[in-house]
Parts: sequence; structure tokens; C-alpha cells
Amino acid sequence: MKKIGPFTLTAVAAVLLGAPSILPTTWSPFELARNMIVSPAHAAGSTVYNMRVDGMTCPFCAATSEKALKAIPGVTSVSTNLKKGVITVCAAPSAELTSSKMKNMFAKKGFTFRSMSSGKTC
Amino acid sequence: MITSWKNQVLAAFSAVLIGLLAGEVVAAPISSNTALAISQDEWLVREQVIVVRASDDPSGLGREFTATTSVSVAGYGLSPKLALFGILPLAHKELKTPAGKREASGLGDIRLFARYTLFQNDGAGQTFRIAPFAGVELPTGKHNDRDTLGLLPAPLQLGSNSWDPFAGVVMTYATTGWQVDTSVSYQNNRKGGGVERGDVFKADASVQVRLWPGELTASTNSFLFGVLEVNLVHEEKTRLNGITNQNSGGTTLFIAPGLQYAAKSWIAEALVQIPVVQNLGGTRLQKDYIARASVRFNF
Repeated sequence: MKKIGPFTLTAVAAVLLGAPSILPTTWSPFELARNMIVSPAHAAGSTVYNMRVDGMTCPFCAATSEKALKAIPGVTSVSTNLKKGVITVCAAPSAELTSSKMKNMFAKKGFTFRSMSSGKTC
Repeated sequence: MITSWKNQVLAAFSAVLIGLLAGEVVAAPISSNTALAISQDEWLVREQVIVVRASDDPSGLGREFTATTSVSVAGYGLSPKLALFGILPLAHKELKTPAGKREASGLGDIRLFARYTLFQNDGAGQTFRIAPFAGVELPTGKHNDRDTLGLLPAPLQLGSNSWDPFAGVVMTYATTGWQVDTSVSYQNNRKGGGVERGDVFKADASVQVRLWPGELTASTNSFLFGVLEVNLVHEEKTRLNGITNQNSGGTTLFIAPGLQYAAKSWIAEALVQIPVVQNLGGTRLQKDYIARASVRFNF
């Protein structure tokens, strides 16, 4: 059997490490592994929340809000439509995303939480 | 000269270092303040290098003044409405004349102030806020620095030797495409060591227009803003032991174009303030320009 040389090992490692920046995010080994961990929420039937948040005018406002939402256990994905002022959150049914909690969280960020609707599909 | 370069290199290094650290920041004027809040329990840090050049000498003595200042700003969101700020300047000033050069380097007067969001009206993708602020300039800079020729002239001194209170108000209207900030402020300069610098009134307006990208998409994570600012500075005359210095005070109006690149976690910006009106007292040196470059981030 042919031996695996240091050059081959280096090349494989470089491809694996470089993959996240070269391939679409869903193809990268890190992202695939992450999805395997996160996906049970989807399997169990995740909930989609559409939150109307006023006062966000730039990607950075969205980023600070998204960071706070992602820190909530059970939240699997967050995206923001800045023009409409709507944040879409996918979360496991166990995630605590109540209107009062959201109002308080966005107030601390300096924004105004208006309303929230939820559905069954993400 | 070496000290000057050392200061500039240190300032640039700090700026790059700070830029590498991630966080979230919001668009804001480059030469003045904004009413947009700092989130509760979050920090904002800004590092700005300011170069002031003045060489138009009405006295005919051929004086040339250059000041390079590295300004470190730290802000903390005590609550969503109340933020506390500290501003620490490290400056190098030099005055060249045909007879020689005089210079001073070191810590300037530190400024501490609080800003409170008094009014906030948020809509989808827009906000209007009014925030008064108030603070004090501390006598931390040297006010009686000397060189081999004796006591340095007042413009070369790094500090005022007085506790100087200031207050103002800033208004901001921001949308996803553009932002306007306007502010007025007044600083009451008090007597320190027989010298009483004149009070200073400032009025600033800043417009930031998103140049890129043209359309917002879900993957938009950086903006390029074109910036245009107007700054009015009015200084009262300095008094020395009760006698007014006629070669002090005056009014300057600047127009300041600039660019601001705002990534998802940091902002880099640069602006040049060009004096369009200078009505200064006596033989006071007229400014050529003020250049500012900075980075900022939240964490």
C-alpha cells in the first residue's frame, strides 16, 4: 500500500481548512457538521417567528439584534429585512421567544419591538 | 520630530488593532456626535488621528503650526438611553518660524461626558432621536511646558489648567439610505493660571448618503457612505490676567467631504475639513485644513 506523504496530508488539511471560505457555506465540512447538530430542531418541527422591530437603519443594527437572538437557546437561524424592519427567526418549540421578553431585549439594544407573529414552517 | 512620528505610528497601529476586533457599530458623523444610542452594557471604542495645519500667517512672520493628535474615545451604554464617554487625546504640536522650531508632546485635556436620549421615534427602517449631552474638560494636559527659549506660547500648550464644563444637544434622523446629524454645543472655558481661554460655540451638520450597495439584500453586510459635513466654530477672545488678547478668538466655517466604509463589525472613515470662512482675531494663524481618519467598533 502506498504511504501517505506529508505533502498529501498538508494538501488535504489545506482543502479541509480552506473549504469554508471557498465552497458555499452549506457544503463546508464545518457547516455540515453544525447542521447535523442543529437539525433536530427542524426534525422536531421548528417554529418561524416574524418580528417587527423599528429603528434599525443599518446592517450593524441588524447584527447586534441577530447576535442577541442567536444567544437564545433553541434559536437555529436569524435573518433581517432592514427595509421592512422585520427579523425572521427559526427556533425549536422549546425556545423562549415571548413578546415581553423580546420587547425588553430590543429595548436594551435601543430599538422598538412592535409585534410578533409565528408559523409552523421555517 | 521623532516623537511626532512615534505618535503617528502608535496611533495608526492602535487604529488597525482596533479595526481587527469585531463588534457592531452604527453610522455617525466623523467630526461631531450622533444621537444614535449605544446598546445597554455594550462598549464603543473609537481611535481617531487628527492633523491640524495652519500656515497662513497674517503677521508676515512666516509661522507654520502643525498639530497631530491621536484621540481615543471609549463609550459605554449604561442604559439604552444613557451613555457615558471618555476622550483621551495624545498630541504633538509644533510651531516653525524662520528662527527655529518649538514643540510639545504628551497628554492633552481629557473630556468626560454623558449623553441621554430624550426623544426617540422609531419606524420601519428609520429613526429620529434627540439627545442632549453634558460634560467637563479636565486639566490633565501640561499648561506651563517650557523649552530652551522659555515658556511655550499658549497654542503649543497641551492643557488649559482649568475645569471647563460643556453642554449641547444632537439630533439624528436615520434611514437605511441616508442619515442626517445636527448638533450645537457650548464650552465655558474657565480661568486657569491667570489665563482664561474664550468660550467656544460649535454648530455641526453631517449628511451621510449610502453610495453602495444600490439595493439592500439579505446578504448586504457593508455600506459605503459619502459624507458631507459643515462645522461652525466660534471662539471668544482669550484673557490674560484680565487683559484681552486681541490675537485670539474668531469664527471659522468648515466644509468637510469624507468617506465612510461601514462593515458589519467595524467602521473606517476619513474626512478633510476645509476652512471656507475664517474671521480670526488679529494676527492669529489661519488654518489650511484639518484631516481626520478613524476606526471604531463596539464590543
